[in-house]
Amino acid sequence: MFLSAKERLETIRACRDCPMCHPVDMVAMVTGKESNTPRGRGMILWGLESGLLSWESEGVTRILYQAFLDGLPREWCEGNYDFDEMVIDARKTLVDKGFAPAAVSSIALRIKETGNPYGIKEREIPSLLGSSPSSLPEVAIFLGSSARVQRPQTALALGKILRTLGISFEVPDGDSDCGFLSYQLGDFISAAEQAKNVAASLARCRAKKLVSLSASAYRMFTTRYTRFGAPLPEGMSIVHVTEFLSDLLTQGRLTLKRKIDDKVTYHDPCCLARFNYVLDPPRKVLRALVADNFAEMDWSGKKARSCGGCGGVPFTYPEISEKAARIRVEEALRTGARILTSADPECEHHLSGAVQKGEIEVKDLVELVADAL
Amino acid sequence: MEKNLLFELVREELCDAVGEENVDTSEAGRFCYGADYSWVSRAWMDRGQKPMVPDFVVTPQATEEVSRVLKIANRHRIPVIPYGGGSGVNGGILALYGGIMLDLKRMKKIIRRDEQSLTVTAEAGVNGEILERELNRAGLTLGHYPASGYCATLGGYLAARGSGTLSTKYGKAEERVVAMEGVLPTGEIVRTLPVPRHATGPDFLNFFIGAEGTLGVITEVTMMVDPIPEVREFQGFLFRSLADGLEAGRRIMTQRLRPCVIRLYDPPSTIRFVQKVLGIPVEGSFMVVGCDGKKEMVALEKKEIGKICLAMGGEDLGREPGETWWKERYKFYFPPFCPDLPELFGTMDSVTTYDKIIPLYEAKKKTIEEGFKDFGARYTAHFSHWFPWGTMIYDRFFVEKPPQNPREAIQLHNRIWAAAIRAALAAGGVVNEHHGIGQKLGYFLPEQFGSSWPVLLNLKKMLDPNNIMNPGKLGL
Repeated sequence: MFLSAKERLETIRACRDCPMCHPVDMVAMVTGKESNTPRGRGMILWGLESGLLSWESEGVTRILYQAFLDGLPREWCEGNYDFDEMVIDARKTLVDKGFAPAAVSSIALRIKETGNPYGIKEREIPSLLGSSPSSLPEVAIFLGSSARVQRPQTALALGKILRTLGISFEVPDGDSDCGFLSYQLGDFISAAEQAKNVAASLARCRAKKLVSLSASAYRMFTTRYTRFGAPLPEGMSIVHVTEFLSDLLTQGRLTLKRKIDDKVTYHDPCCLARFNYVLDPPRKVLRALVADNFAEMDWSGKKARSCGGCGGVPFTYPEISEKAARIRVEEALRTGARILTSADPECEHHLSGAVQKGEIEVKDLVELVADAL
Repeated sequence: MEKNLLFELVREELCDAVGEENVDTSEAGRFCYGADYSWVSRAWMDRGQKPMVPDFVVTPQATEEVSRVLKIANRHRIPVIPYGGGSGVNGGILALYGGIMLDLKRMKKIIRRDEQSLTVTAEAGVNGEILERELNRAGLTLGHYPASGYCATLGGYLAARGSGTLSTKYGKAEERVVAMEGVLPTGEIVRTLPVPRHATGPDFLNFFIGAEGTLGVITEVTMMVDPIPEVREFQGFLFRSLADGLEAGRRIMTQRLRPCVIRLYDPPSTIRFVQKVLGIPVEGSFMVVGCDGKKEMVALEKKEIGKICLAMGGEDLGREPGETWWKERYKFYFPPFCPDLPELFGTMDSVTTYDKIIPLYEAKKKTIEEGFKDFGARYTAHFSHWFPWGTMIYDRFFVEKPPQNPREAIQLHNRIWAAAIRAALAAGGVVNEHHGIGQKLGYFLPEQFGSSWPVLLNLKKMLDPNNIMNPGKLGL
């Protein structure tokens, strides 16, 4: 859908023969299998294209769903081939043919029933953010499924910041899953439905600026919603919360009174590091918090590795996701940092799951800012 | 291997050896091993032909697991193909007779860094780029920068006797080996002596180095490393003729200057690669020379090298073309910049002494461009790895519109290659310098080795009595 037929075939031909992005595929790092490299997946897609394999061939579904789709192969690739979209396109075919993993349809059902892919009944959102300082909202806040369910402390922290700074806000009445996960899983029908629901709720907002706490929702809104038939309301601008905080610093509206003494390192969420390249705003906020006590990981910025939380892998192959998260935590530990921060509650959920007791503390950048008010 | 009761029994033994999740017998999982970077295997698949795939894909995590797998393979007489990054260009990992693809990429630990002796010990499946980055964090470098560095593994570097971009100073990968652990075809785990230079009898290193998995499996290597140099600078030169450039390179090396790289392109490759890929607008014979080390030494070496190049009529293009070349050196290997299907091409190489290099180049060029002119065959070459006694030629042939029929295409490809190899042998070259032999060039080795060939055959029989290790490769 997001690649033309010509682009798709060109990408398959390029990837099936090229091993140059092997060092950046985290699934391959975990499993050690050639089938889990971008070339391996490219070969499988060529096999399907040429009739050497069929969609029901053993291993096709498994291998195509064992991919983080974090954008790093494309970033690494001198030819700029959109490897992720090629795989998502194939996943869509698997969904359409009924060969996708059972988790794909389970996720869609859970989102319908509970608003999140985990199937967990949620707290009312006002109790997460608290009450807006005034009834005329300056911003609308999109929390995302992970903040609502897995990492509510991030939402609580954002609420504290907004109320302390006197920034009035509203929450879309249908803050349900944004559709990113269903899109990555190839379930385009569910993704479109979820996107349209959220877009409709955004259309009912009075604020003209949407602040997203979720990096994946931010990516979905800015790069995919229109194609899914769910454009954002006219005149509504969208920023990620790190951009919002960075702007508040520049405007002098945000003052950080308590600085952090511990060494901090930062995990770039892939949806920020690539696609929209939101790299400087979180670093600006971090430097205001920790001054010189900030250490970059080796794989950072545009080349940041995945936390293991993308591509639906935590739902389809959680053991791979956990091992990838551990690789990332070990990278963080090597910087000597005591705090591993990031800018997406989903990333923090995966990373904190891979931390062994007392090793390092995982916190969202929003939490660090709230603590410093 | 037929999927019968024996298949299931073997599968269970392998699962017992390495864990069920590390044995893949799925059709798609095995399909991914159906091609390496060789034109022949890629073209075969491109034209919809069924690739040759293994029966089992096994990913061990420890030397002991490799040993268990080889013992199982011996018991059942099943071929074993050690696999690293799959970046070989000569079909070295193709499962010609099915068997077990032993993918070593889970064996990727960097075990120890010795900052006193400047060595690193790592498992053979570690990715080259990952290893280099880890070393860089400590201010060190492996000094080995092959084109395959993003995908090849440490074991693969050595199994094929690879060279890197800076091998002129830092040596081929094999020259940086200090010690090694491997598993013999019958499953015994062996270690070489702790140092590579000694007077303690024959060296076991050569059971593994360059053997391309036919005499055992490399599992762990200790390599020499270097400090990251204080400075590393590159300079571009342009020569009117290739001969002038070759003579400049010869003088640089025989005067025992120590550039880290000399890369000299013949006029056609200057256009195809330097102009078109790097966007450096030059025609003629382009040369990059690099020097690294202490600032004062680099300045002195650059000065002497500059004098030699200018004396041979070279035009000093300054630092920018050289620095651009270094920065973009991997770009040549990504699509769409690399040679690619549907074009027919072959990446050959050879090496000889300085007195023979021009005749070698001319012989191969003539053989291809005249011998296959009906197919519009073209030839490009660059000279990238220089030794005190000679230089290697990294050459390619291209046929823009090869036959569509896969058998005819492969026939043409192999005939061009065979003609070029024989021209190289006749002109004093060897079958290959650093890409390895694999399957494709194996049948030339008896010609290359002559009366010594039986020694290799006997060694193979002795070490691998059941001929399970990568059969059909190296002509063995």
